[in-house]
Amino acid sequence: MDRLAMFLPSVGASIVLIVIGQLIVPGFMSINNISSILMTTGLLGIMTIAQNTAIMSGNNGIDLSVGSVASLTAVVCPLLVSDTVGELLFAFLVAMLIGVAIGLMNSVGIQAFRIPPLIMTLIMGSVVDGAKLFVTKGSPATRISPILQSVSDPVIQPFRILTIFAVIMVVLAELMLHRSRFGRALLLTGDNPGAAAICGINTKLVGGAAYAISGGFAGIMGLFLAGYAGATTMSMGSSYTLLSVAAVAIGGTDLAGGKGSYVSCLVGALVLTVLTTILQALNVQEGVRLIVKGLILILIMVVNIYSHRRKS
Amino acid sequence: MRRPLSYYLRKLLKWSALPAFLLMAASFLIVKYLITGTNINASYITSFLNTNTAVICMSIGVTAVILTGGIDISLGALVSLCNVVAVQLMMHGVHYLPALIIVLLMAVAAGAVNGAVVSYLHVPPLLTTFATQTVFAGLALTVMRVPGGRIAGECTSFYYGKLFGFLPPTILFILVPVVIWKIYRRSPEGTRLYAVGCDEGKAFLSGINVERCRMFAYCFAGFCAGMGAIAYTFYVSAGDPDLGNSLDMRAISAAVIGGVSLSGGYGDVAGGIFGCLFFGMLTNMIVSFKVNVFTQNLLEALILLAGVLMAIAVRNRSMSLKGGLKREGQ
Amino acid sequence: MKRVKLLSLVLAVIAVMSLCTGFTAARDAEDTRVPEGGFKIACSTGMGGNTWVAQYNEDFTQHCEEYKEMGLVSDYQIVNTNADLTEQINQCTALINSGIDCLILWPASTSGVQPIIELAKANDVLVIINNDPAAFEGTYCVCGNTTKFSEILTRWLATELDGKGNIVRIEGMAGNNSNELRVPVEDEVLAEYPDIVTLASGNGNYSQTVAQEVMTTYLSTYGDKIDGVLAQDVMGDGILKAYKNAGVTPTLMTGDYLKSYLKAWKETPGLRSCSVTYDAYIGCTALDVAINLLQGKTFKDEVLQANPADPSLINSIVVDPAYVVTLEGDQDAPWMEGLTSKAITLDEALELLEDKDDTAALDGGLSTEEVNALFE
Repeated sequence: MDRLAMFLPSVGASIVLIVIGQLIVPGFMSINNISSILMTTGLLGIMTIAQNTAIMSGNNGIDLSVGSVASLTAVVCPLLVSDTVGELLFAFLVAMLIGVAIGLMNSVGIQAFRIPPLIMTLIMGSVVDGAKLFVTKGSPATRISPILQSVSDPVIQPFRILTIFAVIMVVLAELMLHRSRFGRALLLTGDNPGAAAICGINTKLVGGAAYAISGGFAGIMGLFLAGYAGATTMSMGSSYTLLSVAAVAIGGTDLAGGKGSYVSCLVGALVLTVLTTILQALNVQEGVRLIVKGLILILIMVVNIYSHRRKS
Repeated sequence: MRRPLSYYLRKLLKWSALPAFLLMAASFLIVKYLITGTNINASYITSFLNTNTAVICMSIGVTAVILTGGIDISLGALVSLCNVVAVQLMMHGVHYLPALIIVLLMAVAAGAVNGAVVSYLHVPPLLTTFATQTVFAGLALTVMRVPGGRIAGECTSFYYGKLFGFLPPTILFILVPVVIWKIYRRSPEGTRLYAVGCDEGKAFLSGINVERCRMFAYCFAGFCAGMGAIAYTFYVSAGDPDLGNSLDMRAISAAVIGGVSLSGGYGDVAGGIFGCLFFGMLTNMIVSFKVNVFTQNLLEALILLAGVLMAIAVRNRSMSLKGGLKREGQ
Repeated sequence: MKRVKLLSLVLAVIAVMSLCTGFTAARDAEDTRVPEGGFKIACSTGMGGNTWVAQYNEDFTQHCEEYKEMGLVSDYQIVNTNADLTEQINQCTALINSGIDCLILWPASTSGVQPIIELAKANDVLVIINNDPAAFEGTYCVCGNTTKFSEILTRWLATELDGKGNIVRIEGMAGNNSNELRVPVEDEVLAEYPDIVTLASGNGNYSQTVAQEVMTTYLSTYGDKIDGVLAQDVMGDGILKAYKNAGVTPTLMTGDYLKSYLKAWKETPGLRSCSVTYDAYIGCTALDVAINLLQGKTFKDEVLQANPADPSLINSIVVDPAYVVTLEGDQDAPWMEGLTSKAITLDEALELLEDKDDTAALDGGLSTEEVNALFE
């Protein structure tokens, strides 16, 4: 019941926004538009898996390097794919491993050196950006092969390959969270590390693994992003960092750690994406767009907080 | 009572801003002595301070907020907003003195909005300031779409002139927030603010008005952003809706290198100032080392990482020396 | 307690003194000028981390090497920042203090770089504003003709539509200098064709992904009603992807000068498009101008043009786009009037880019001889 309570505000918000969208923008509910919104939500959703894991691990957890990691894999990994599905899977594996490696570096800083996650991941993000520039000499991957671009192909309208993969990953993550030992260890570590230690959980290991997972998913997202865009630019992933934090918050995850749901974060991502799409469709000045977006974000978060307080 | 030298050494080592001070001093010395062709004279230091005043003010403000256990990533956008408002007011014939006062009041009000949403609506500071950052940036774009404009000539000549014959006027913009902060810090309210940062629950139970402490911190941060914005406006003599947007993370990193603890309750503004000066010097060093353009960012980030590692290692040690304070990390 | 306070005071005084050594020191002698045999050049780019800038850096580096072999350049350096004005000021201060002769400055903020200009003037450093026009007394400005860029594209689209039809517009980033210069020009040209209706106009933020999303929304909203798309640069691939996702074949849209777009255009039968280059070579043109000025040469009469940022200041060399790519490559078309640009066909464009990566941009510019001819 508690988990359902987490859903409701964000589901409610998405429904309200979609209705508003249809009223303001004719053609909003068209199949093509919906499938595009779902794809963008899927991308952000994969990012929220990463961010949610980091935040749930507690200790003021957050991962501000996810955008940089995604940019890195987006500009580097497409080189590995030319035309076979085998190469595609290999590229995803490499992307994930790059992300995990960076995540492990974050873990070392956070667990061993006791650097606050905010600062460690922030600076790690800058290091990754610098490394990306260094490795590519400013020129990202040459061509995004058609097979990578096919992530945008429809399976059953309005669901495209990217959307389906994103949903599958979110569902798997959710199952892992609630059914596996690691998932439960993660939640307990985030909620009450002292109690977790008494239970015999190695909180350092669990906390460290959280950032490795976060990095891994960010890496995967980057490659999907490259396929979605069909072209690569150097800072493709950077805007997704703070967006993923906002989506996780809208999804009801406690920023202090220990409570959260991946599916709920996906709904949070949906809310953000619908909001952004509606604002894009409006024929107003960019400045007005930003003001409206900020105000609505505050509104959504206040409603979120208020509804959680009522439940507890 | 005579105290042994080791006592004073220990006191020095417990100074939260020590790592940042050392980093700044080290980079200063490297630039002065190891890099040929650098003339560190009055004009160099003046222009260095002029360029970095906005970040320094921002880091003073963000330190105050972090001390309460919060964070503020909207200060950069607030600097942009103050800058364009000041320029637009002056271009529409408002005399510079009332224009600047209006800007400062607006900055404090913006800080108050942040403080109110965090304290009374209970939205986490990171998300609040993320949202307000968007709003401020949007307002800045609405006030001035394209960079440009001019400010009153008196402002520019004041800023490029000299105080008392040799001091750069930009120091005023840094000193005023620091002095205000020092006075506040010594007052009972200042101690209460640290208590709120250390342990909010216990502070509340002790009868401390937690909300009031927080409101002061966010309003003060807004004020600092306003001061920094005015200094920057005088320096560039024009408006730009994107002026301060890239400075947020640098101000926060500088504050953390300066020894402030992100959980709150530990640290001081001096550290943030040293941190910003260190960053400025770092950029100078990277340029002077003639590093390849594609390696510059990586090198800068790695040095930054090393600096943070050192700063936090030292800070963790001194925090545990002090004992009893809330610790970071598990 | 008193002792501690004394100690802290002593430390503070030491710290302040070490800074004040700079204040009270006499101003040092002017740095010695590098002999005519080799100038020290520095380039500060206000944007970093995208392929266009990478190409700009590459072109610039190559050109500097050529000058180095001729003995005209002794040393050169490129620094970049990503739209961070504070960092650019810090970097340029360091550069100027290291004794350069010339600074080629691509401003991170077109109004905010005044302090750099002042410092350069105080140190006798030649400043050439490059790529993003900004107007400052005592500097020169070398940039691509960004307004002509939009004028060509808009006029081409209007001519293709025969002056009648519905279009959607995808602009760049709000507040960005180029964007704010181009949009009014587009408006002006479209005003000449009152039967062309703009259904919607949005910001693509010079991002392929944002452009894709905006175009998807427009396709969903207006569908068949769209006769043509007017977009700025570096967004062509995103727009094509939006069409592909929607299962619609694009028929008329302004294009991009990246090889990836040109290839995609070739592979889309029935697509009529026009690409205008915004040349990354402009840095080299700035370098050519700088070398001439440093050698003491002066501009011929009537060569300098009005500064795009402030028409009352005549200090600029504004270079027309190098190439205009259409299917026919018609040099006499109405949109080519008064231009020094070369009209080429799609096939010729692809030939020029044959050995390059997909991310390469079609590039060109005034040759060194052409620049030298502008001087006495």
